[in-house]
Amino acid sequence: MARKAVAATLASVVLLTVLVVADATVMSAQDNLASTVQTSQIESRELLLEQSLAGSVSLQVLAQAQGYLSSNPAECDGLPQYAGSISTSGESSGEDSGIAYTANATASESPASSLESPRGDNLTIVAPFAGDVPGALNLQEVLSVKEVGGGGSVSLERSETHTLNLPIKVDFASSLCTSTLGSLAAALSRSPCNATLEQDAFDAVLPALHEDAAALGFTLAAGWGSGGSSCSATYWVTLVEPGVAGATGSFDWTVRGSGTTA
Amino acid sequence: MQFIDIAVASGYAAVCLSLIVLMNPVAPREAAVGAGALSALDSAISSYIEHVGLPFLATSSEAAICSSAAEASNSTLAFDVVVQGEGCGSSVAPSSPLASSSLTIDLPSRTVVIEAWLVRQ
Repeated sequence: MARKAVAATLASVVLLTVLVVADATVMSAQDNLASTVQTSQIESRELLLEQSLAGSVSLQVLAQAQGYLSSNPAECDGLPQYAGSISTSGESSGEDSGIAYTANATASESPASSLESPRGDNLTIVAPFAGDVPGALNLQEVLSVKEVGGGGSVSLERSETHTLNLPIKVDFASSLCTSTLGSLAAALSRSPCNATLEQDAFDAVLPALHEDAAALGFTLAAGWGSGGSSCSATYWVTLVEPGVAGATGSFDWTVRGSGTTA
Repeated sequence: MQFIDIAVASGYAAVCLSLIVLMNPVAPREAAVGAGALSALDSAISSYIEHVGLPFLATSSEAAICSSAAEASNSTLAFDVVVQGEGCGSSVAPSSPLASSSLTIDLPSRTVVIEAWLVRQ
C-alpha cells in the first residue's frame, strides 16, 4: 500500500512537472509571438504615419505655393524669376500611438527641364499634384520623416526628393504675354499722335486678343493711354487664369504686362 | 512521517497548479491577436488614404468624403471620417468591434480623423 502511494505521488510529481514545463514553453512561445506581432504592429503604424505625414507636409508646401500664386501677380517679363522666387516649407511633429514623429519639407522651383509629357512621382497620396507636368509650375521637394516607437526599439527614417506641381499654365501665360503685348504695340504704333486712330486700332485688335487668351484658358483685360511725351502710348494687359484646381481648392492666377510705344 | 509526505506532495501540487494558472498563454495570444487586428486596420486606413488621396480629403465636401468612407466599408470593416469634428451621420461605430484604430491628419485647411473598426460577424 505504501509503495503504491509513493508511486502515485511520484507519478503526480512527474506529471505536474511536465505540465508546468509545457505550460512555460507555450507561454514563452506565445510571449515571443505577441512581441513579434506587436513590433510588426508598431512598424505598420509607423508606415501609415509616414505615408500620411509625407502627404500632409507636401500639401502644406503646395498650399503655401498656391497662396503665393494667388496673392502675387506675375509680371510678363519676369515669369522665370517669378517661378524661381517661390520657396515654401512645411513641418509637422507630435506623437501618435506611442510613436514620436517629426516631418518637414522644403520646396523650390524644379530645375528647368524640357518635358514633353508628364513625369510621375511615387508620392501618389498627393496625386494629381505629384510629378512634373510640362508647362505647369513644377516644384522640387526635399522631404524628411523621422519616427521612433516601441520605446525606441522601432525607428523609421526617410529622406527623399520628390517633384510636385501646381497646374498653372506658365508656358501659355508666357506666350500670351509675348503675343498680346506685341499685338498692342503694333496696333498703337500705326498712328502715333492720333488718339482717335489709336483707340480704333486698339478696339480692332482687342477681340482677337480675347479669343486667343480664352483659347488657352485665360481671361484678358487690356488698356492703353498716352505715354505723356513724344506721342508715345503706354499699354497694359492683365491675364487671369481663373479657377485653377489647386491642392487646397481652386484659385485665380494673374499675370500682368505693360509696354510703351516708341 | 506520512503527514509530512502528504503535506509536501500537496504543497508541490499547489505550487505547480499555481504556476500553470499564472503562466496563462491565453493573455499573450490575445495581445498578439489584438496587435494583428490593429495592423490590419492600419493597413486598411493606408489603402483608403492611398485610394482617395489627401487632396480629396483636404478639399471635398463632407458628403463626398462620407460617401467614399461608405464605399470603403464592407461587412467586416467599417470606416468613418471626421472632418473638423463632424463625423458621417449615417456611420455609427459598431457596438462591440473586434478592434478599432484611427488616424488624425492635419491638412492645410482642416483636420481629418479617419476611424476604422473590425466588425464582428
